[in-house]
Amino acid sequence: MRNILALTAMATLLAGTAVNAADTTLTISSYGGVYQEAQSKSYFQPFMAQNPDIKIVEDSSSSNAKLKAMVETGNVTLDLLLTDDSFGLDADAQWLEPIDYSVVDKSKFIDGAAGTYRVASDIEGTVLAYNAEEFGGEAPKGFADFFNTEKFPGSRAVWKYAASGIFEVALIADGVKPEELYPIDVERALKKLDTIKDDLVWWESGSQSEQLLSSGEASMALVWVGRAVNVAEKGIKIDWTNWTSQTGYWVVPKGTRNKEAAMKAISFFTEPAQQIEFTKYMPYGPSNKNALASVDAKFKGSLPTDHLDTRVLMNADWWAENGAKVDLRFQEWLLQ
Amino acid sequence: MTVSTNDRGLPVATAPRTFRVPPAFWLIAPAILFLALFFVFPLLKLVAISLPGGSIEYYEQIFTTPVFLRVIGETFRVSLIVTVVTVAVAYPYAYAMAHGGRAILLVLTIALLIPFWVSLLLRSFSWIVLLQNSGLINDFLIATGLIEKPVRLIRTPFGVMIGMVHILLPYAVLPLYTVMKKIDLRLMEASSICGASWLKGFARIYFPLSLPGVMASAILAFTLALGFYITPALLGSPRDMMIAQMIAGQFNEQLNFGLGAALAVVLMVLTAVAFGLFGAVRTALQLRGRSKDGM
Repeated sequence: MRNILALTAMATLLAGTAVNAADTTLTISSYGGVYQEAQSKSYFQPFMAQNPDIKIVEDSSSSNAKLKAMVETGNVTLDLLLTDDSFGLDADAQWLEPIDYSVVDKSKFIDGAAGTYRVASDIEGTVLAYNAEEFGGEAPKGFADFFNTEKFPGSRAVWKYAASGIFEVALIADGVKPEELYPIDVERALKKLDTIKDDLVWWESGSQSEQLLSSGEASMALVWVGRAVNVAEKGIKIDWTNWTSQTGYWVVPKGTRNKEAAMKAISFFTEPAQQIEFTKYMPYGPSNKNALASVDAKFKGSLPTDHLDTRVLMNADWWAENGAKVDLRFQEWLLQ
Repeated sequence: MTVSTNDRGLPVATAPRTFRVPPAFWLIAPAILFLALFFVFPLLKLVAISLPGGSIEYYEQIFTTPVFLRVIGETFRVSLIVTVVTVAVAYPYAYAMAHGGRAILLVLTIALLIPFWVSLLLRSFSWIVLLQNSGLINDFLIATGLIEKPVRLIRTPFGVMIGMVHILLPYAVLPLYTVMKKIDLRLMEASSICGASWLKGFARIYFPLSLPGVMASAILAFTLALGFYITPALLGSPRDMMIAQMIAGQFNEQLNFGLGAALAVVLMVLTAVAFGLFGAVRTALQLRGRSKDGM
């Protein structure tokens, strides 16, 4: 009994000193896996080395639903979260703190990377990946070939998510110019998708998309670029003729007690040195335009930012406004 | 004052009893408190979220949107079929466990429980490895020359069925086994002495006695099947979507907590109704059984 008391006392003391060592604890939630490890190595650890008064505690996996619930219940335990294109827009103002552009330099970002409530962490993309062995030397070129099942037979794996870019892909394959995509002609896109409906296989997690490609289940797929690079050694190649944009954003939940530290962290994470370091570990491009030219050689050529000229920029605002309606129509189409 | 009867069946007056909390209550009090805090309260909260400001707009939306109705209908249809198949597979399995001797019981129990301890996600993924076009089953069939091109096993209703039945099997087998173990096999001997074939004896004696087990395992399998999420997502096509996937989509993708909560409440109420129906059928069967026995 006495031992237990002594242990408890010691634990309390230790906990006390831990709190004293860092004045502020910044809790960051990202997407876990190799992605978050890369962020930890290139962003979090250098930040803590430079700011000994701030301790970063990592959490995963970031979820918009969790952030929303957290703010609504007034129990904000996360200070900085990573999110996707669908969140962090003006429509989400009630759950987020505006980015403090007196701390974060707005002019360093590439176009569209700095919003009122979010700042891009990295530039990702959904790309057309294909199994090079399947088509006897032929390689698909662009979204039109994604729909050409005669020349390029086999299943196509696509993210089962209305705003994944699949509507944009279908319309471009149908001849719509990228700058004329919005407002999305939902019925036209679905009609185009009808032509390959039996060849479509849907994935719901990144690992599933890798599995479909590497096992040979799917001969082509629309996947996150990082996932395509992961299976490159299995003969999976990327066609950069067209690709749809995707972005990782930092957001700060409304009501966090560590807003200042969070803004400081965002500013640090998006500096060229950190973003260049990040490209050592992940094939995602920097959001800081001063880092673009000096990315690490490892994934040079596979970074979305190396192909910005062929990027199909998705309109997140349009999706924020129409997403729910389009999703229901999409689900209905899936069931038909 | 309460009225009870004496040993001749005549009513007698007894002294009023003061209410006393049975001692057993204090044993289950922590469990009740736990459930109240972590189950009943969040559940009420969920109902509240589905009725923002007392408005039933989300429920209106559910019952006027064909997609939702179709998925709810599909969920019940799939669950019912899966239940029938699961119980049909579980029945002979439990029979062998109950009456096959110790060695068989041991082997069958291990075969049943080891997968039961493996996570549901892992088991669903394992089925992908087996069923996919380049999976073990297709590879084997092609290697033996039985088929030339891979048969589509995964992302079909068949894939969902096989995955769900496999996961539900232990839940269906165990209640059947406990009931069957208590059935006196001498009754079957007696029937055969009286000249009945094994099949007749089984149909007239064994099966009716095992019915409570059948009902229990069917109820368990059905209510669990209604909430399946990962298995249909991994092994089915989008046409095999079940309501749990739609609920998750409303929460995680659409961030529409109200609609997601309303869908969850609808699923819960319908499950309760189905549960009640099963219960009614069971009671009816038992009553019929008793009247037949002349009791």
